[in-house]
This record gives sequence, structure tokens and C-alpha cells, in this order.
Amino acid sequence: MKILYILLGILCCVAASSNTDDDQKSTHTNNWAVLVSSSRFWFNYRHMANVLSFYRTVKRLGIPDSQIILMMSDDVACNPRNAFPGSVFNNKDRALDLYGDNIEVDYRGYEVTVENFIRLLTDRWGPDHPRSKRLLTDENSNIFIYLTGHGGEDFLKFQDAEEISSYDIADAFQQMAEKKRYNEIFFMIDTCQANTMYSKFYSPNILAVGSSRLDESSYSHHSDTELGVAVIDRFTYYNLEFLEQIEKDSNKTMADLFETYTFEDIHSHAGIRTDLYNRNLSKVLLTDFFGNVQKVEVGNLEDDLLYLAMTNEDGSPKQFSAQLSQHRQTNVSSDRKPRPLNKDSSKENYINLESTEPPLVRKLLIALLLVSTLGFTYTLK
Amino acid sequence: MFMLPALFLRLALFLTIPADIESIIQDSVLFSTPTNSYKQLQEEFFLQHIRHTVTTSPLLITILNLINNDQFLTNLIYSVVDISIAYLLVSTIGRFTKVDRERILKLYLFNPLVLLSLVSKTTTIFNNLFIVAALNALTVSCYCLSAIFIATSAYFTYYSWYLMVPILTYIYKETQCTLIVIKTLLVFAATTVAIMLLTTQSKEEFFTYYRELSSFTTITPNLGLWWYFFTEIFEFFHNFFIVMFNLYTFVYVIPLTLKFQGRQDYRKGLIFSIWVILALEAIFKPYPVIADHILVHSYVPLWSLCFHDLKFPLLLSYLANMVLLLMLPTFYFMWINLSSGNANFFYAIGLVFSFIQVAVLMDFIWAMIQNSHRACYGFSRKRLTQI
Amino acid sequence: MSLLETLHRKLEKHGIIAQCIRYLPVISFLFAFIGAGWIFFLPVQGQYRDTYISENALMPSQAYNFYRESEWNFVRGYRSEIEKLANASHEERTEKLAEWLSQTGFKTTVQEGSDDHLSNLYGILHAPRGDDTEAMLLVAPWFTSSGEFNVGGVSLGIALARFLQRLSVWAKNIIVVFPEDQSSLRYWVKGYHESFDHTGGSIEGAIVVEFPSSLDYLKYVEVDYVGVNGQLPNLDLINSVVMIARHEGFDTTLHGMPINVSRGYIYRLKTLWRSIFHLATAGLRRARQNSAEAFSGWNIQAITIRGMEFCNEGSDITSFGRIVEATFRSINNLLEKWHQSFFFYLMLSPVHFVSIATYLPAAVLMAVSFFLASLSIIFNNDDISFKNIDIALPKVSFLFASVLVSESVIGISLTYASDCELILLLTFITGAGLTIILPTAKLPQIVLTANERSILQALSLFVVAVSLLMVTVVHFSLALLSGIAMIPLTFVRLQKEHAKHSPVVNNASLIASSPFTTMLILGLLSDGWTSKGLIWSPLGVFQGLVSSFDALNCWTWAFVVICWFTTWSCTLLAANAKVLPTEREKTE
Repeated sequence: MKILYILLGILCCVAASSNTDDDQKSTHTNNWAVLVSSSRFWFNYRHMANVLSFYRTVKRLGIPDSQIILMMSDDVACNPRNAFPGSVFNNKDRALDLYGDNIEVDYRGYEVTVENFIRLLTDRWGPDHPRSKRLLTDENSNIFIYLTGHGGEDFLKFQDAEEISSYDIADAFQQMAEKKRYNEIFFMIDTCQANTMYSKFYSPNILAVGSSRLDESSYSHHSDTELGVAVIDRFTYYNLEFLEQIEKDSNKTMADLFETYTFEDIHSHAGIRTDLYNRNLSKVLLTDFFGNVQKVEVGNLEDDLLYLAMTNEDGSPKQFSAQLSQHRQTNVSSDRKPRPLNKDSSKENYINLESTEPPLVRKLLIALLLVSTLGFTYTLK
Repeated sequence: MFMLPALFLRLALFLTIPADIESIIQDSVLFSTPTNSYKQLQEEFFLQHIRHTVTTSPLLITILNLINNDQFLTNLIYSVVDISIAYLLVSTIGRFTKVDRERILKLYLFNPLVLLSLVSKTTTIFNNLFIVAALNALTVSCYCLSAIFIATSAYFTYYSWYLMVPILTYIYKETQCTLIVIKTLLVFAATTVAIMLLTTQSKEEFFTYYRELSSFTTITPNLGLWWYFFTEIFEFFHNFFIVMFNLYTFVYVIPLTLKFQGRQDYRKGLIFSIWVILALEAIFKPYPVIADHILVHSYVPLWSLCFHDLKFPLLLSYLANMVLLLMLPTFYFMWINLSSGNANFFYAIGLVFSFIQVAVLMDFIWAMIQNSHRACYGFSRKRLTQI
Repeated sequence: MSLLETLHRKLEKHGIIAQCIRYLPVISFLFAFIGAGWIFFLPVQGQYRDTYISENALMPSQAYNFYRESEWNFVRGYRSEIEKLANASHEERTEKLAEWLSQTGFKTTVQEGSDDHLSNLYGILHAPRGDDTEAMLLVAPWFTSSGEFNVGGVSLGIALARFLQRLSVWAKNIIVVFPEDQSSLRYWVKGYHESFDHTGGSIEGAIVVEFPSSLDYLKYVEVDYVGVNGQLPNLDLINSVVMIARHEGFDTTLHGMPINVSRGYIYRLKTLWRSIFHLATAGLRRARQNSAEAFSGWNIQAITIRGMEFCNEGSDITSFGRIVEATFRSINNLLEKWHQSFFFYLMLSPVHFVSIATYLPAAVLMAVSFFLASLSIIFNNDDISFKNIDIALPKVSFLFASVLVSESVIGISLTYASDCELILLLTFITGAGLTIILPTAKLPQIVLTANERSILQALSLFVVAVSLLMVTVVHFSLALLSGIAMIPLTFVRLQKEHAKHSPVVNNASLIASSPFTTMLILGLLSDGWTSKGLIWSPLGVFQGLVSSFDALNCWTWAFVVICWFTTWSCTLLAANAKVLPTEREKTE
């Protein structure tokens, strides 16, 4: 047992020492954002404002709408109680209409459920789920995940109907890690007892912050007296205050952001979890998560050649003879998949192969198989 | 000799009761549930040609068709059934104990609760008739008749087939002949099939009714214990509850039969186990009504020999039952009409009611065990605490 | 189960059960005593709770209220017109107001009057962006609950209607009603739910404004919330109104408590007793009916706010109007239902309450006390053996049932005569007279065996216990107060074991526990039952009891007849019937 511990220690040392300065640079090639307001109803206006504020920020810093998944009940802007119909503000000065132009809500109303959130993270959907509503990340994606709503110790309420627990999110992240669905995750949550929500994470490369400790509430920042509701939460407010100064080419780091968290401002103890994250925070640019990087990936030439050989110019699979097709199909599924031009379409290609196969041939094949098996067993006797 | 006045009383009651009071009683949760209410029966009678899914027993629709839904005839049938129950009850009880028959008759025939239950015109009363008749037939050794009655009763409530277990044991003990047991069983099966073929037009019709009974598809609050689990607890568990509750009603049948068949007086023992199974059904079935409990408590005089062994005096348990039966509609009213109470209040009282029933039952079982112990080992002054 | 078993064995071993049975009468009295004493315990620090808003959606006073000085001129303008109408007929007033109301943009309708009721003017503002299924109600009666001309209230009502339709935040419809008085209001509510063509959906909340003065300023606000049959509005509504009023600079009181006193234990106790008293007698006061009573039975959360101590400085009428505006915005914010668990409470002050779990034991103990007294008669009695209970039962039940039926018939027929004061007066005098004479008289016509007599008495007490228990959960205050008034019934001892028991005590107990005695005491304790003054008050109580049965669907009369009169009469019968000697006595 002791030896095991020593070995483990050595391993850790090696792992730590291998963190050279070169590793501190992010290697991601694309950025995604998942923004969730899990509450509902007019009096939770501030949660909608929180999430729309972050939506605006990540969009401003360059993440395109196609890579932002926005989940919120969206029942505030057009609520009859809203004195400013069609608008959502995050400040009582009402200088900035968050709802003003071009809001793409991916999951709205009763679609905001725990199930959908977990499916979104792990990308387990039916075949006809629209692409625009999927999180199409790979092992080179940096994901920013922001959650806000009403929560408690180790849970977050979804629309007064159900709850997600910290274990659920942790397990979903582990699945994402196993499926190589991310490079790094920056997880931010603004709810009561928020820090408990990331306490159960165990997957690598996750940086997490929360607004308040166990048994602490998170508070709203201020109310708009004409609307009659609180418009933003404190933690979110001060995060945004900092992020507003950031431009696309900013060199500000995570450490700079975290330094601004004070109890005086937030009225609760913001928590930061770095033990799963092995880069130095003062080297992590904010734009690694909030901005967008367009790096070009040079794909594996061999794979692509194989792929090209098997498909027509338009991407559809070539028609081989039935047996060949059958043969290749098994090959494809057992062997390394050819890298398609578009990464996630491998599944669709696979489906296409199947559907283009003539049904008669397949029946014949099965019949042949049966006959041969029968014959084989007969001869054995 | 009380029969005739009682019959007139019942007919007069049907004629004189104001329509709104009758409707209140018929809608009351204590007396009727979707599977046995008179209104449901009427509705299905009138819609029988349109839809073939039923939630009341198809047999009754057939009877209603026969008499063409005539109001007076219906009343007469209900009254006669009620009085027959009293008659059969007394003749069964009289065969086992020497209690005053007249008193038992009076207690049943002029019991306000029985009368109210009759006014509610629930179909449970037919089930009660067949069970009482089956028990009476059993005690006079008409085994086939008994099996026919149980089959008919099972056709009403499904749960009654459990009674075949102690009944077959009884027949075996009595005759020591396996052939008669098998014959009775065949009669039971044949009757079930025959009624099914005679009264239903389609297989679906038959099965919807039983699905309704065993899987609690019409979730409504009632006297019993089921509904709260289906309304207030996650839907995810519903199948689990259905399985558990159905198992729970059955799980006692065989142990109880085994326990009491070993008595010297095995007849009484097995009738006792039938009684306990009936009581457990009344408590744990999905749609219990007062009429189920009335049937159970009508047999209490049979066990007069264990009265002095009871820990809680019967008077106290009946007073408690009375209070709870008055509290139940009060809480229901508060929940549904005033909407100031909620489901928890009503269910809590229902739970206490069931608890009292269980406590009384346990008390009787223990008293019966003591009784058989004494029969074996002679009387001792020392009070038994465990055996 | 095994726990019960063990307990039972332990108790039996020490002979505690037998001891308990012997001392049942004492235990019974002890329970009643603790039950009544419980109420004095509730205002002690730690027993009550501070009020809080349990429904998050309400957010009282979070929005800025716009009903300010600029609107004051409209109130003044309407008021000067309405002052001129003070002596006009109801039709003239309604016509004038209807004209103004339709100008404000409300869909105005007049409910036709009937033989007993005057017409009611009401207007509905269909919220343009709402879904037109729910409504909030503003009521400004022409005459307040104490009969004063509600000049400020009506002017404020019409001015507020004009103001509210300009706001753009309404998700629920707004209805304003101008009934003549409380009984017209009930007529209107009934009509709204039964016959109107023009409605605005289910009423989620109602505010009645009373401001019977032409002055502009007021000192504080009184909140009235009591409904008949023990029905109370959701506690959140009261909390919101109290909180909003404080936010607007008003002090609030409940149940007519004075404003400038220290709010210590005595204050809380007084408020508590008054709230219990007002709840128990809700609907019975003919001279001072509470507007919230008009809404009982339709599941509407209703509250009355009443301006108090009008003067020439301090907070003005627009601040009072802002209470309505802010409360409406709170109700408007409500999304689903009012919070379920806040319908059972007793108020100790505007900001303190006790919830049902804390106060319910008082009435339950009271009911248990009767139950034990009934058991005591059965167990501590040589006349009764368990075997012959059912022999005596038919005769006793028959006796009880016939008393019940005859008194119910009298009770119901009296409700038809509730307008005829002469009949009521005669009945009351006869009843009161019989109360005093009958306990001392002998009734040789009724012959009972000792067994039957005891069972009749036990049955009566049992019926009291059960009725109290049933009423407790629905109408705590009525159960508690009537329980206290009926306690002397348990002091009546008829068995020969109590031969030393003085017959004077029996008679006194019977007289003391009679409903007429209670009516007399109630009437003399406080005025306001009838408009004719203190001497007539006992008759006023009686008249209120009888008339509220039909007018407000108040069950208090039914409870008094079925539970109280019947059991009292049966105890009386048991006490004064001719008793046949038992077999044993004969042989002796």
C-alpha cells in the first residue's frame, strides 16, 4: 500500500513538473458558451437579466450566436407586468436594452429542464434534433458555462418543477471529458449556496467559480422601482462590471477578474475552485473563455484521404457492390472512423450508408447467412 | 320479523329523501368512488352503445338492461339486496355463536351508516351480498354455490378471488377429498368465464375494468391509502406503487390461511382468516368505501368469544371510528370546497382511520391466537403476552 | 404497534388506567382549563411569530407608486361633487357615478336591484395585455360598515379608477364596485358568480376602502379581515397591506385596538381575544357588519382598509390611495395561487401571528374534555354495563333524534321569520324564561331507566365533543368560545354515586350552559349587535344568529341548534326525567 502511495506521489510530482511555461498557453481552437437561467416567472426578472447580460458580453467578445446556447424561460420581456414591453434591462438607468436586437434563445419556456440541460452537455439527442440547439464541441473547445436561478445546498431548481444536483453536473462533465467534448471548462454559477454546486466535480481542466458559500445566500444588486423588481444579482453585476472593460484583444487574466471579488461588493463569499485546473490563473486570458479564437486545424491527411476515396465529390458515399458495401460498413464501425469534413456528421454519414443499401439485397444476405449457418450445423452433426 | 319493516323503511327512504341530500351522499368520498358510484353506473348504462370502456362491472349494466333502468325496481333491488345481506349474515353468525340473532339483525338493519350507504346506491353492496352468500353457502357445505358466489364477487372487485385460498382449504379440511377441491376450483373458473362471456361484448371492455381496479387509473381521493402516493409523490414511482400495493393485499392471504387452519376448531379458524382477509382488503384496496368496512364490522359478533381478550374495548374503537368518519368529510370539504385545507389534512385523517382499523384487526388476531392457545393448553389465569 | 403494546402493558402493570378512569371528571375539567388557558399562553414571547411574506411573487412596495399629489386634485374634485349628493337618492348617486366611471374607460354596468337589495354600479377594466381570466376588486361602498357616509372612500374609488387605467402594468383585470352597503355588496358578489353577463374572471383579491370624511388627512389605518364561518383571507394579503401601509408612513391596527399604546403582552392578548371574539361572532352583528364577510364562500381574499382619525395634517388621502395601488401591484404580480398554508392563523398585532399548529390544541383540548366527561359517565357508573348499552341505545337515540329534529325544525322556521322582530322577541323571551324554569322543573312524562338516563347524558356530551372537534379545524374561534360556554354541562352529575352532589349545582350548571345565557352575556358585554342600543343587544345577538343563516350562509346558527341546543335539551331531559328504579334497587 505504502509503495502505491509513493508511486502516486512521484506521479504527481512528475505531472506537476511537466507544467512548463509552454503548457500555460491555451490550446483550444474554438469557444462555446452555455448560458442558463433556470428560473421562471416575473419576480425572477433578475435571473433573465443576468443571463442576457452574459449573452451580450460573450457575443460582444466574439463568440458567434451559433456557438452560444441560451436557455431561459423568456417570459419576462413580453410579460404584461413589464412596464417596458419587449425590453429587459440589467440596470435601473435602463441605458442598455438587453433584449433589443438579435436574441437567439435556443431553449425557452418549458424546454428549460434538467433533462435537456444534461442532454445538451453530453450531446445525447434524437436524430432529428436541430443542429443549432446542440453543443457541437470537440476536444479543442473551451466552454464557458453560466448558471443562475434559485438553488440550495447541492441543488439548483429548474422552473419550480425539478432540481439538478451537483452530482448530476459533475457526472455530466465526466462524460464530456470521456467523450473528449472539451478542452477546458469555465463554470460560473450565481445562486444561493452556489459553491456547493461545483464541489462535486472530478473531471480534469475545469475552472469553477460560484457566488456564495454553503449556508450563504446570494443577493440581488438593486431594483428598478418602476418595474418593481430586482434587475440583477450582485455577483453577476460585479463580474460584468469588470468584463465591460475587456476588449477582444485584451490581455486581462482570470486572476485579475478573481481579484475583484470582495465580500463588500458581493455580500457573500465568492468561491474559486482551481484544483482540477492545471494552468496558472495569472496566465489564463479572459478571452480564452469569453472571446473567440479561430485557429485552423490541420487534419490528419491519411484519414481524410481514406474518406475522400470512399465518398463522391458531394460528400455522399460511393455506391459499391452490395457485398463491398457490407464489408466496408463493418470495417468502418470496427476500425477507425474516417474523419469527415465536418466532424459531427460521421454519424449521419453512417446512417446514409445504411439507407442507400437496397433492402432486397439485405434480405438475400440474411437468408444466405441463415442457410449457411444451417448447413454448417448440419454438417457438424 | 324485522325484515318487512326494514324493507318498508328502505323503500320509504328512497322515496322521501330530498334529491340534493341524495346527491350529496352519492357524491361523498366516504360512500362512492369512480369504480362503484351509482352515477358512473347510470352514465355507463346510457353510453353503453357508444363506448366500450367501462369502469363499473359489466354485469350490473346487464341487470340494468333487464329491468330497463326502472327507478322503483332499482330501489327495490337495492333494498332487497341489503335485507338479504342482513339475513345471510345472521344465519352465518347464528351457526357459530349463541348471540342474540335479533340484536344483530337490528344492529344491521337500522344502522344509520348502513342506511346512508344504501342511499348512496354504490355497487359495492352487490359485492357484499355475494361475499356474505358465499360464506353462508360454505358453512352449510354448498361448496359449489360458494365458489359461484366468490367468482361473481371477484367479477365485481377482483380482490375477492383471494378468498378462494382459505375457502379451498376449508373444503379440503372438511371433506379430506382433493377431488371436491378441484371440482370447486373448476366451478369457480367456469363461472368466471361464463359471466365474462355472457355480459361483455368485447375483451377490451372486460380488461379495462380490471386494469382500472388494479392499477388505479382514475386517481381520486378516497378513504383508502393509495391515492396520496399517486397524487403527491413523483410519477416516476407509480409502477412501483402499483406493484407494491397489489402485492401487499395478497401477501397476507396464504400465511393467514396457514395460521388459522391448524386450530382444533378449523371451521371457525378459517372463517376468521377469511374475515381478516376481507378486512385487509377493505383497508388496502385502491377504491375502498364505507360499505366495505360495514361488511367487515358486521361479522364482529362472530368473534364474541374473544371480546374479553381485546386490549382496546370495542366501544372505544367504535367511538373513535365515529369521530373519524365525521372528520373525514369535514377535511374533504375544507380541502375541496373552501380550498383552505389541503390534501395532507384529509389523507392524515384517512391514515388514522386505517390505523384504527388495523389496530382493531391486530387486537382480534391476537385475541384469536390466545383463544386457540387456551383451547390447546387449557385455561390459565395468567394473561398471555407472547406465545 | 409494539410500542403501543409496551405502553399498554406498562400502564396496566401500574394500574394507571384504573386510576385514570376514577379521576376522569377531574381530568376532564383539567383539559378544559388548560384549553382555555392555552390562549393566555399564546401571546408569550416565543409562541407567536413575526409575519413575513411567504409568496415570493408578491414583492410588496418594491415598485414606485405614482399615485401622488398631482392626483389629489381629482380626489378633491370628485369629493366636492359627491358631497352634494349626500342627501340624494341611491339612483341619482349611481347615475352620476356611472357617468364618471364610463368616462374613465371602464366598462360600466349597473346590477339591477331586487326586492331586498338596491342596484350596484360596477366597472371592469380589461387589462389590455393580460389574459382576461383573473381580476382584482376595489370596493368603495356608499356607506361604511358603521353606517357613515363614505364620502372620502367613494371619491378615492372613482379617482383611483381613473388613475389605475392609465398604468400599463396590469396582468389582471381591475373591477371597481360602488355598492350601497355591506348587504348590497354580498348581493353583488353573489350576482357576479351566478348571473352576470359582464365579468372579469376569477377575483384574486379584493380591497374595500372606507374613508368616511371630507378631510384630507388621516392618522392611521385600521385593517379588517374577518370572514364568516371562520374563513380568513390569505395571511400574505394582510401582511402585504400592513407592510405597504407602513411603507407609506401609516401605523396600522386590528380589531379596533388603539394606536398609541405600548405593544406588550397585554396588547397582544387583547388583540388575540378580540380576534377570536370577532371571528366567532362574524356575521352576527347586524349594526356593524364587516365588508370582508361579503366575500366568504367564494374563495376570495378580501380585506377592508379604513382611514382613522381624520385631521388637517400628516399623511394625506393620496398616501391612503397608494396603499391600494401598491397592493394591486402586488396582487398583480401573483402568478399562480396564494400560498396554500396561510389560511389558518390568529393575529396578535398587525405584525405578529400564531399559526394553526400552535393554537389548535386549545380547542382540541376543549373537545377532549367533553369526550372524557362522556367516557367518565360510562365507565364510572354502576348503572351501565357494556352488555346492555345497545339495549338502551334505540330508545336513547330515538329521544335524541326527536329532540334534534324538533329543534332543527324550530331553528329553520325561525330563519324564515328573521325579519319579524316580534316573533324573535317572543321566542327569545320564551327561550330565556324556559332556560331558567326548566332546569328546576320535573318532567314526569319522560320515563327513563337509570341506564338510559346515563347513556343519554353521555351521548349528549359525546355529540358536543365530536361537533367541537369537527368545527375546530374549520372555525377554531367558534369551537373554542362555545366550548368554554358549554363547559358547565360537564358538571351535571346524575348518577347515584353522586348522591351527595347538590341539585343546585346541577341546576346552576344547566342554566349557565344554556345558549340563551351566553347570548345574554354576549349582548350585555358589547354593543353593536343592533342599532337600538345596549338594552336590546341580547335580542340583537339572537336576531343576528337567525338572520345570518340565510343572509350570509353563516353556519353559526346551525351549529348552535344542532350541537348546543340539542345537547343542552337532552342533558336537561336526562336530569329531570322520571327515573325507574333499577332491579337491584327494587330488591333492596
